[in-house]
Amino acid sequence: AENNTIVLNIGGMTCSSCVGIIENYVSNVDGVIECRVNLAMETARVVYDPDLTGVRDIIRNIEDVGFTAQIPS
Amino acid sequence: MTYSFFVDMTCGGCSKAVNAILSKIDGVSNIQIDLENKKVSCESSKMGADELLKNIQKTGKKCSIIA
Repeated sequence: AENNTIVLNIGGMTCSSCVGIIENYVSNVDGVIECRVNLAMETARVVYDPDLTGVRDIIRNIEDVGFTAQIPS
Repeated sequence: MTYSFFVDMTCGGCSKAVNAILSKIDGVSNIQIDLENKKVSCESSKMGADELLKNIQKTGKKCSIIA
């Protein structure tokens, strides 16, 4: 299926190394193609295959590493 | 069993991430994180050192088993 891209608001990042943690951890999730985090904007841009994973999974994985993730309202 | 790891943590966010990962694993308890000395130790009744390390490595941080 066509890949989806979602941008999430990330809470709890204190330094640039947190960016690396989230990018590495989320990229490990099955179905995630790419994960880019913007520290200044406090957002994460995730490209994923909707057949393999979903926004719910991605948010749960970010929370598994101790950060918060919300869909921008 | 108590296990110790070297984990190249640089800030509070990193230690929070390692703590969050370990506390999710079944059978892990008593997680202690020493940021200055870049050391993490915990008790684990089910998962062994190698698998615990694999989970910590998901952060992309350099890490190794100490004991």
